[in-house]
Amino acid sequence: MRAIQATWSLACGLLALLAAPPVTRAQPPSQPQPPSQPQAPRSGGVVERDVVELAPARGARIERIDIDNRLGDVKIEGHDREALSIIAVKRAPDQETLERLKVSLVPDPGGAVMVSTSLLAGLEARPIPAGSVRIDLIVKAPRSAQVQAQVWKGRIAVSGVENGAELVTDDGDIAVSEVTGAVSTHSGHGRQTFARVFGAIDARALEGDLDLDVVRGDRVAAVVQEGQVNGRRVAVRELSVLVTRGSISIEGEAMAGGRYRVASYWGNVQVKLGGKAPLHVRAHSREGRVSLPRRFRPRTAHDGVVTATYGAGGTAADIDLRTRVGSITLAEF
Amino acid sequence: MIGCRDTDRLVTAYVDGDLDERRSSALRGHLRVCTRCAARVEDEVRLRDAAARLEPLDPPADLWQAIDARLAEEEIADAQRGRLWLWWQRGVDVVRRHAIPAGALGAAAAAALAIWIAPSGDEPARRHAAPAVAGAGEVEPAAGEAGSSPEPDGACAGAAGHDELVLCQMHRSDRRYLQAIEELSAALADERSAWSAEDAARFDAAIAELDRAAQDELKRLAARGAASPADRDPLYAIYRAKIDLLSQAVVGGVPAEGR
Repeated sequence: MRAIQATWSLACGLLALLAAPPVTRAQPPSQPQPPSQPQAPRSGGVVERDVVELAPARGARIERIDIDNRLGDVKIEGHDREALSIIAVKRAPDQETLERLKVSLVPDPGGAVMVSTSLLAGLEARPIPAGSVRIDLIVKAPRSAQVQAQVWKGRIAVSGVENGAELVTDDGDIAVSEVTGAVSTHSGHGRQTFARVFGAIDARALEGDLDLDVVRGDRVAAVVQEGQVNGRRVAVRELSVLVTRGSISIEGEAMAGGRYRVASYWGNVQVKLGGKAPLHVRAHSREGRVSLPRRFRPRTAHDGVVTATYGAGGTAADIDLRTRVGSITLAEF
Repeated sequence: MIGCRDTDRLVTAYVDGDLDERRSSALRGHLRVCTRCAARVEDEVRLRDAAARLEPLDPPADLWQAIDARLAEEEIADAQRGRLWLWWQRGVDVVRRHAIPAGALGAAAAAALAIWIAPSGDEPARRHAAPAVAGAGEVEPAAGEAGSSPEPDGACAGAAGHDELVLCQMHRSDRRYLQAIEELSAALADERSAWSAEDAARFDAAIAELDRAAQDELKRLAARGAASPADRDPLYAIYRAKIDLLSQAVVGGVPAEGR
């Protein structure tokens, strides 16, 4: 294994393009898998593992990392160093194709680093077999760097960063853990998990479940077209979870003055709240049952909307629960 | 050559103005030489004019309530049907809707992707297609498999090479977005009856703006013949904004508030 150490000088103002030379060649697929456990090429093929390290000049910092990898997975880990370390695992059916798989690293004088992958055009005398090329990236970045990653058919995992992340995958899971700051995600298909996130979450999913565990901060906004949303230990000031088809279960804490909107068009809504703030509840199920704790003394209006108030003193938390076809259950700790 | 039998078949579309120019021209040519068909078209035009002059009927006040109650019954009954029925409906739905995205995606993109449009059973069944309603409106979510990714290549397994595979995957992504938009748009029709005119106008303007942006983007893609996933990022961003807006309105009950 060989590492290339690139010194980054902000003063020079030049964009450097680094592509690491091959390190390990023609490994049979039976060799130990790299940490990201990507799929092996369909039949045979060659695997190469490159390591690139980029250290900023003295006094400079890497403030932002933009990763665009449409050829595989991306895993980003925050670390306590100022340098950026990238491990690229390339897979191809043959050596010729392997050499067409490129990783580009472009540092910007403004403090951003762009990492992208590509499959260079070839003579195409014979087409590359479907599913036989792949690049998986493992990036170790300064914790303070803001992270942006986009993949096509692949997973994204981010952990240990402190300045938020923006993550997009067309088809693949997204896993976010130990992250501080604003996190924005989109997945066309795949599960999204958020564990120990402190800040704000904006999550979008077309098909896939959303799992929140220990989330604190200003806001959680989730829009899911088809999938279940499960939240545990969620304590945010503003919560908006909208699911078109799928049930929602949220367990957390209501804050004084907080706004909580949990709605499914087609699915059950279950909310379990703790906290000392008084609650003002509005719940409406067109085709199902609404259950509130008895001591809330709910009132049902003519149009089927159930309202209730519980507790006194201080600013109430506003809770809006909706479903068209499903039941609503509000419980308290 | 167009004949009397063709005229019988095409007359309605011709009178409605839905017939394309080439076939309209051929039909007009036939009408010049066939008095029977000319009379047939004249009758059709007269019938349409008479129908257009009729006073609009005011439906009884309780008609919509009755329809709504009936719809609710049917939806509950549909929700209680088995998964097989849902699969079947999904297949029918996919076949039906594919005329729309293929037209909308523009000539270049459509030509490249058309080979993938035909199969209808290629999309895995939606995991939460319809929760079964049990008892007094209680919902039992359909048993779905755990979230997995990336999606198995199923539909694209027949791709011979890397480029074909990516094209197939792009088509599936397009379809996923368009299906979500279509589903939300269909649900919106029911929800918006409760909106104020002002809310409805503001919402429609926001949607129209996104639609224009999507059309512009599709034209740009077609003109460039762009065929890589990254080229579609702007289009998908627009689709996502539209899905957000529709979800806020349909699910969240907020018609005029964008993201």
